[in-house]
Amino acid sequence: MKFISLVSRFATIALAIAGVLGILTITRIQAERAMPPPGDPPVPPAPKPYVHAVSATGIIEALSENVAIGVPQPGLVAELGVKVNDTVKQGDILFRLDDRDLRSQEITTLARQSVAKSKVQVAEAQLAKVKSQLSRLNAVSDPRAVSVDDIDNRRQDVSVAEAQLSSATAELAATASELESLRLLIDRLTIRAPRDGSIIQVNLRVGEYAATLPKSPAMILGDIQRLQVRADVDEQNATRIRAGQKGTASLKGDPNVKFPLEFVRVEPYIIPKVSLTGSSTERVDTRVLQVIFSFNRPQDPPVYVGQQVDVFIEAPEP
Amino acid sequence: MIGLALKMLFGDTAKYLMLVAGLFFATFLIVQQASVFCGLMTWTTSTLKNVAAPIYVVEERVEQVNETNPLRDTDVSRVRSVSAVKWAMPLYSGIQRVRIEDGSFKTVQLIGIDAASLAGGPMRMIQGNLADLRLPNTVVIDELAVERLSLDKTNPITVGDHFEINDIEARVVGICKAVRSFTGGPYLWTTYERALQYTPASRKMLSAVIAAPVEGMTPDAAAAEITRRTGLRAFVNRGFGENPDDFNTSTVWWYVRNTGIPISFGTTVVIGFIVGIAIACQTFYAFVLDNLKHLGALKAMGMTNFRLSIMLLIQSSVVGLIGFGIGLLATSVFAWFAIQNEQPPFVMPWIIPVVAFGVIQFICMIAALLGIIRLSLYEPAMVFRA
Amino acid sequence: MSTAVTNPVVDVRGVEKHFGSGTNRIHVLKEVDLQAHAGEILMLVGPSGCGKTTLLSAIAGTLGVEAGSIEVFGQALHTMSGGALTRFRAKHIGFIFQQFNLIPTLGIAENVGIPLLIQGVGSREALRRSRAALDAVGLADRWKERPNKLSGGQQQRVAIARALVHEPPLVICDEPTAALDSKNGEIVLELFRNVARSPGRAVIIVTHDNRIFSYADRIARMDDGEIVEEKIQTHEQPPRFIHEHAIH
Repeated sequence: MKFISLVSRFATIALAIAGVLGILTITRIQAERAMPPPGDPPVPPAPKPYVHAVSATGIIEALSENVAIGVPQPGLVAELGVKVNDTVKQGDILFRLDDRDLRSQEITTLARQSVAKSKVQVAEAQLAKVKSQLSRLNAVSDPRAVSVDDIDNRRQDVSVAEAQLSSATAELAATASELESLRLLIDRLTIRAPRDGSIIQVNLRVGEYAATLPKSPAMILGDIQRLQVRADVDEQNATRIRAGQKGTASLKGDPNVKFPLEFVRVEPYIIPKVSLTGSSTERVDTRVLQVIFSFNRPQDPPVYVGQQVDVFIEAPEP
Repeated sequence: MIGLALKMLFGDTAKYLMLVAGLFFATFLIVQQASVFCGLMTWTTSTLKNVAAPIYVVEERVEQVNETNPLRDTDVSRVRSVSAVKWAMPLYSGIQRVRIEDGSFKTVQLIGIDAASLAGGPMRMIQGNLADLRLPNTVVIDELAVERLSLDKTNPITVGDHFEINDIEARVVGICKAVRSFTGGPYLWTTYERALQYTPASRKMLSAVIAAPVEGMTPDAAAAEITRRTGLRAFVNRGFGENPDDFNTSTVWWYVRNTGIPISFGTTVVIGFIVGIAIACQTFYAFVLDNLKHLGALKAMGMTNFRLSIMLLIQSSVVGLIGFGIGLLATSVFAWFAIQNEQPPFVMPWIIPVVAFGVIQFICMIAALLGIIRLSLYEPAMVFRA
Repeated sequence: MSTAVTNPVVDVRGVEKHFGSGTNRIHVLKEVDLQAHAGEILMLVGPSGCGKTTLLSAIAGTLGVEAGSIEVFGQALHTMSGGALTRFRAKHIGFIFQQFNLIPTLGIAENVGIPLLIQGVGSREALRRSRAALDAVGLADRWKERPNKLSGGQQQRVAIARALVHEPPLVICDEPTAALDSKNGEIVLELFRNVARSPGRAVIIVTHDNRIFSYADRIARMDDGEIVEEKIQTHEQPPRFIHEHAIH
């Protein structure tokens, strides 16, 4: 009895002490398993360039916007004069469409021209012939030897021959102008650079059929030495934007690549924002004010037209 | 005097064990149930633990993290435009279904984070590299996902394995540690853009904006500033406490208000309390009654009521201590298994054992008080009437 | 051996006590006068319900009275506060109960030491003194044992040791032999004669056990709340435990 009492006493006390130690251990294990407190992300985002700034998402474009080169008429592509990334001067040949139909017309017209030329010569000879006959009759002084009818006939022959000559001459001139017109048409199928710039995109291959659809330009020409950023500012922050504000852009993929921006203009019309999530379904979320900035293309790392950027525009808080 | 009291207490082994057992039972019920409740409430905020960011910005009316009203994409820029914000990143959080190789479906908690900064990414990687998340069609999964998405135990899913989220391929590039979610689904991390591809399209997809305050500013001040400037609701993410602007606090209180969980656990805790009081008071009173003759003799021999009361208080308090200690032992054993298996939920803030100690001692004081009242009614003269 | 010349240790005068109320009201003590003197054994005898235990409780300071005065060592108990009374009991009175009232969960030495602990004596000193007291009752070698290991007589001897350990000038005994057989009763009474009674100490024994009457120096017989007879016994011969029930 005394033994049981003793055992129960010490056993319970020992268990109680073990319990306190156990719960302390549990507390420690718990603390070890706890998630660390929130800190900076694994790749620290680039610090804001300004104390007070409006943030926007933007997309890089070529300066003075991109020129989508059009096709004058549908046709096969006969020759490409440039590659993507080529720098071109105004008037340089970009590409040529197939012009063989026009050229074949040119050849027939040329043949017709030589026919017309010989016709002129025939008419000239005929005229000379009837003229000499008339002058011979006029040289006969004896009125009886030459009848009046004969002389009239000769005179009319001369008039006819003259008319035939002028007709042949006109025909020759017509073929000449027809040739001129064909040459112009042929020249139209050769597309030249409307201004200096770089070829950004080429959607044509030799032998392809170039259509005149407005949505798919044959080539895009732009100035990629000077680029511009089109920044979408949420309409709720639009009031903070003023002309001439400074901006800084960083690439979406690598926030550490930063370049200063120069204010160009604010688009005066607020448009629905096109979601740039890359999803196939575009979603219209909100309206945005578009602000255009320009910048010099940095050498390293390369940036590309169409790339997304995070833009900070220095603007005081209201 | 203390020795006398304790010897009297320990001498009656049966009643002593009964008292200890009752208080052990009460302690175990109170501490264990309260801890499981806390664990469950912590699970409701597991997204806040797994996606660690000092500030969460959500739609104005949102109260809890598991049910957010989506924001517009440009709200990231709006939050970023607040001067008090050091950085702000988009966050997608939603429940999606995963189809594993054998064709069965599992629900998961899909988290989409900013691809460049990886802000909100898992903090404890076990395998793989978080930066690989930038590769196409990749996800990082947690340990629970390994358990849930594996075909069987012998072939656990690992880095390089594939499954489908809403018919789009997902390749595992990392395994991490994460706190379990309330819904029971494992956590999957991917980039924000890809999370939107995995998710059926809807008009607005941005669950929250996570942000950090600029140097030298507290998250609380920055959150208040974000709320003032943008009209969105900015919460700090520090941990459950008294701050109503803490997302943890707000989430837990939402569950307390809107679910029956606290009632059910509270009932068990109250039952523990009542059982403790009933057993302790009844047994201790019987103990006092048994010893009444002796205590009366002590009283006649000149022991003051005060000293007798102190003796009874010491007795009950010691019983309380020992019962409490054994209750903690049982709780520790339970907790150890719970923590190893991560189920059932178990989180024991220090306040629980402290309060339980107070409650148990309170029960003991009540029991002692009953004995004291009974004893003070006992006239020492009665000892002569054997 | 006359004690009339000394001041009485206990002086009870005109004590009145009722129990109950209304029609159940019982007049327990009716103007009782009683003195006990140092060095003597006073026995209060009488039939059950005669009020002798009530009188003993009153003398012990555990029961208040309605009228009259009780003085113990010249201190009027009825004027003392509850706390003072408790302290007074602890210091001056040793108690022996009919059922011994030893605490079963304590060893007998610890039981004996309780009055010392109550007075605030340290536990080591208390143990030393209680072992000495146990030695006086012949149980020194069993000091570690629990009371329930002992016979009734041994338990009562432990109770005597407990009553005497703090050397009180007044020892109060309630039916000390009622729970004992004759042999043990005799041993206990011998102890009273040899140990309890010492110069300056008074022993009051309440009993209706006529086997032990001869141990008394003075016998006060009570009936119906009154002291009906008081006689002094002188001991020409040593007192004798009467084993057969001769007189009643």
